[in-house]
Amino acid sequence: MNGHAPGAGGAAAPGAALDGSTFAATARAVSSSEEVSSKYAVKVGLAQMLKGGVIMDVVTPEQAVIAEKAGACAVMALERIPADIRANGEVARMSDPAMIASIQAAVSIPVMAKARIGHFVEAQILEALDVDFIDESEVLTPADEINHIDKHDYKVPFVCGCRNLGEALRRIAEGAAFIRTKGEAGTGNVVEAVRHARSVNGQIRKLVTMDDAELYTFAKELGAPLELVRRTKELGRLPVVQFAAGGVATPADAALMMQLGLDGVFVGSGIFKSEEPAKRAAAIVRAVANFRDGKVLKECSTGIGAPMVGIEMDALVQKWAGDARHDAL
Amino acid sequence: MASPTCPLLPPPRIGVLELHGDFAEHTAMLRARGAETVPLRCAADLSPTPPLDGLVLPGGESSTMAILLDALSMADPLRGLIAGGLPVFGTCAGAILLSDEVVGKGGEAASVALGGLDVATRRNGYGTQVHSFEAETAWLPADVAADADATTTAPTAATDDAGAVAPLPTGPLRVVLIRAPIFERLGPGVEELVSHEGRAVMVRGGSQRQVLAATFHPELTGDGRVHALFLGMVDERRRRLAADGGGGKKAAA
Repeated sequence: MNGHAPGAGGAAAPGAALDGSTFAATARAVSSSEEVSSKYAVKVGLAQMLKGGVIMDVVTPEQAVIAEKAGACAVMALERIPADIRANGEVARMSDPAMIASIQAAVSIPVMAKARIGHFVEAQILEALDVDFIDESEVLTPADEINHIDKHDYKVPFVCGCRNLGEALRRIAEGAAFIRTKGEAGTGNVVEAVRHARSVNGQIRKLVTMDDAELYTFAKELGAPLELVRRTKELGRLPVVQFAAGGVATPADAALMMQLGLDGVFVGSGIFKSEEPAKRAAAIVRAVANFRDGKVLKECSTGIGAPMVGIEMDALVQKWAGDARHDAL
Repeated sequence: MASPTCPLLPPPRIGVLELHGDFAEHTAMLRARGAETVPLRCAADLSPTPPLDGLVLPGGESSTMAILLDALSMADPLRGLIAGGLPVFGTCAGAILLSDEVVGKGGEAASVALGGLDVATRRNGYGTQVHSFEAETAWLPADVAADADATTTAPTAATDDAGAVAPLPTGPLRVVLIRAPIFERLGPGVEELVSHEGRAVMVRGGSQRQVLAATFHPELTGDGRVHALFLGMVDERRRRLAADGGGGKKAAA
C-alpha cells in the first residue's frame, strides 16, 4: 500500500517494504522480551486488518448500527462526541462502562473506547470490558501531564495520537500498536490533521536520506529510541499502521488523508453532526476504498446532505492537539 | 520470472481484492513467490486482459468488504468467476465472504457475501481482541486430509487429466488468529488441511476444489507455504486448461 505515499519516496519499493511480518517485527525494536514481542504481533495484527477502513465515533447503540451498516471497520464508543465535549468545556473522562457494553452488544465489528492520557486504571477497566482497542486520547482531559500509560502490560492493543515523528515513535516504544494523527477533533476542520500528517511524512523523508552516523543525533532530537528510528528509516514509513484523525468531515477530506499516505481514517463528529449521517458515513467508506478515483469521489461527494459546521482554528478557545500540556509528552 | 511451480507457464496473475484490510501483505507474499498481482477496486478490474488466474480475498472486516462489494457491483461477477472454477484464497474475513452459511453474533444468520465453500462459519468465533492469539500447530498429514474427503465421489478431481496434484506441505505451522471466525460445520468434500485444538483453521473445497480458506493469517507471519500451496492450485488449473486446448470446457462443468 501507499505507493503514492510521500513518506515512501526514496525507500524500497513500497510493496517490498511492507512484508507481512513487517509490523510484527517492530516488536523486536520495541522489546527484546519474547513474550512482549509475541503479544505485540497479535496487537499490530488487528491494526493491519483495519487498514483501508473508516473508524467512526458513536454515542449510542443505534449510531453504532448505522456505522456498521455503512461499512465502518470499527466504532469508537464514547459518551459525547468531541464537538459536544468542546461545547461543554468540562473534564472529559472514560465513558460509562454500561454505555460501552451496550454498543459492544449491538455490533459485530471491533469496538474501541477512550482512556485519558496516563490514566492506567481507566485502561484496566476498558480491558476488563473486553474492548478491542483502547485509544489513549488527548480528546479527554489528561490525567498525567508527564507520562503515558505503559501499554506493554495490556492484552488489549492501544492507539495513540501524534503530531510529529518523535511523538509517534515514543508512543510505539511505550507499546502503542497503532498510531493516528492528533488533528483537532470536534472542529470539522481538517487543517491540523494535514499538518501532523505532513510533519510525520516530512521527517521520515529526511530520515530516509540520512547517513547511519546521523541517526544518533536525529534520534536524540526526536526524543525517540534509536532502534525505532532505524526501523523507520529501513521501512520509509512508520513501523505500525497509521490513521488520520481529527477534523475529517467529508469524503474529500478522507481521500485527502489517504492520498497523503495514511492507512485509514477516524471520523468523529463529522458523521453524526452532519445532516444525513447514514449517507455521509457510507460515502466516506467508499471514498477511502477508492481514494484515488476522481469519478468515485465525485459520486461520493454528491447529494449527501450538509456537513457539520466547521470551526476555524483561530476561533478555537480550547486547542487539544496544540495544548501546551502535551508538549512534554 | 516464470511460474513458481511450472517453468513453462508465465507468472500467474492473481487479483487481490483491495477494498479494505491487509491486502498489501497478501500482495507482498504473492509477489515474493513469483506471481503478478492485479488490484481489484471496481467491477471493471475483474475482467482484465490477460484474464485473472486466481483471486485473493484478504483479512479485515467482512461486513465492510461485503457492503463495498455490493455498492461497487462486484459481488455478482466475483460469484461468477468462483463458480467458473477460478481458484480463490480467503483469509479470515475473506474466508467469511466465501462461506455458504455465516452465523452472526447472537447465533442469528448473517448474510452470505459470495459463497462457494460449503461451510458454516461463525464470525468472531473466539471473541473479542483479547482472545486473539498466536499458536504453534502443524499441517495435517495428507492421508488425514484425504480421509475427510472420502465421502465425495471424486476425491482426486484435481488429478484427473493433467499432471499430479501438488503435495500438501508438512511440518509445524505458526498461526495467528485475530478476532478470527470458526468453521462450525464442514460440508461433504471439504478437506481439513490445518487444525488447531481440534478445530479446522484451514480448509479446501468448492465445486472444483478451487476454494482455499483459512481463519488464520499466513500473510502476517512470513511463512510462504500457504501462498505457495494456493499458487500450486492456480497452476494445476492452468495446466488443465492448457491440456483442454485452452478452452473453458472444464470450467463450464
